[in-house]
Amino acid sequence: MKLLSDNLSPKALLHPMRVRAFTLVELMVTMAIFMLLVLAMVGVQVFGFKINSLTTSKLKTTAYSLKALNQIQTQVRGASSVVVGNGGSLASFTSTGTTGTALLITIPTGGNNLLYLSTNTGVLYEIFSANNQQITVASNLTNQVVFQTVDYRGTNISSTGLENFAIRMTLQFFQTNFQVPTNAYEYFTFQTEMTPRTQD
Amino acid sequence: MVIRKKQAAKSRAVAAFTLVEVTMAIGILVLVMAGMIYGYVQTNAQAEWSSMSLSVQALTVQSVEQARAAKWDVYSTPTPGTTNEFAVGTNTTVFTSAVLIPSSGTTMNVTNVLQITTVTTIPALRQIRSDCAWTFPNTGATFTNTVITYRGGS
Repeated sequence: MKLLSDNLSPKALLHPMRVRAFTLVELMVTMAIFMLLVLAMVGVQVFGFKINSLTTSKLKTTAYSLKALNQIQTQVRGASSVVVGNGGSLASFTSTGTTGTALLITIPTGGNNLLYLSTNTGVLYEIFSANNQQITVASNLTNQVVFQTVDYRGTNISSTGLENFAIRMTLQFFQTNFQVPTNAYEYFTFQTEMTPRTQD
Repeated sequence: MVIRKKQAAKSRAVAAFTLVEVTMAIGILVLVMAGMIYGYVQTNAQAEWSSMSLSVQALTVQSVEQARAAKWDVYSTPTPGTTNEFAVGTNTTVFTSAVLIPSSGTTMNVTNVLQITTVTTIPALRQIRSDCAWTFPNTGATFTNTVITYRGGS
């Protein structure tokens, strides 16, 4: 940086631009420092985006699991009957009694709710017979079997003619977090059981 | 920056930043950025802990629900209350590879201890307590999720 004197030489007065500007070295050093700062800030931002993506997927799966747990557990506990089977609608539901992608819940006050997994889209839906409304319970699922009928030891059984059983629900989530520079995935398994209280 | 020589000569501290000032500014910037990064990492670790805790909590509930699904006939003969599938006592189960560790895709075992105790005989009432112990891989700390419920005989 050039400092101006009160007593400038005649040469300097003739060429004021030469003394007022930054030198090339000053500019280059400043730009280098600025570039380093910008790179550091960009690095922090990119890192933040990645962590944000990682956190979002975890929270999303946690939220889906909680929603599924709260919604399904309450319904199964209060149901007059629960049947495991397959099918993507109330009309096409077929009972297997052992394992399947769908769960038919009969409500004591009347009507049925059907929970089913669409294996094509990996989404767990619920259909209410009262208004034929369909809602999404969980998405990004990869498993093929969601519901199982088990006994008190957790052994897979048939619910046909059985007095005491529990319904096991397994949700396996798989999501892509980010793809740059390498692919990063998120895995999450959620498994629980619920027992209709009408068995007591 | 254009500064008169006289002014600069009088006060050099005003004219430009000193090396100490620049170093301190950079130090503060580094601290702020380190804090930001730590915040990001901590948020992610907390989300990971929450997801794993929920997964273990579901397994804890699973054990309780299995105990509730078991037969317990209080009117059985010759001794009322003895015909049951889950007797009073402690049952330890290890859920093998039950919990997936986020991001890594590896699995973790969870040890479950199910305790069934008699609260009262008349009316027939039992307490079902389920404890699931698990280790958080990031810190190595051990946590226990507990569910306690009561069940009447049928």
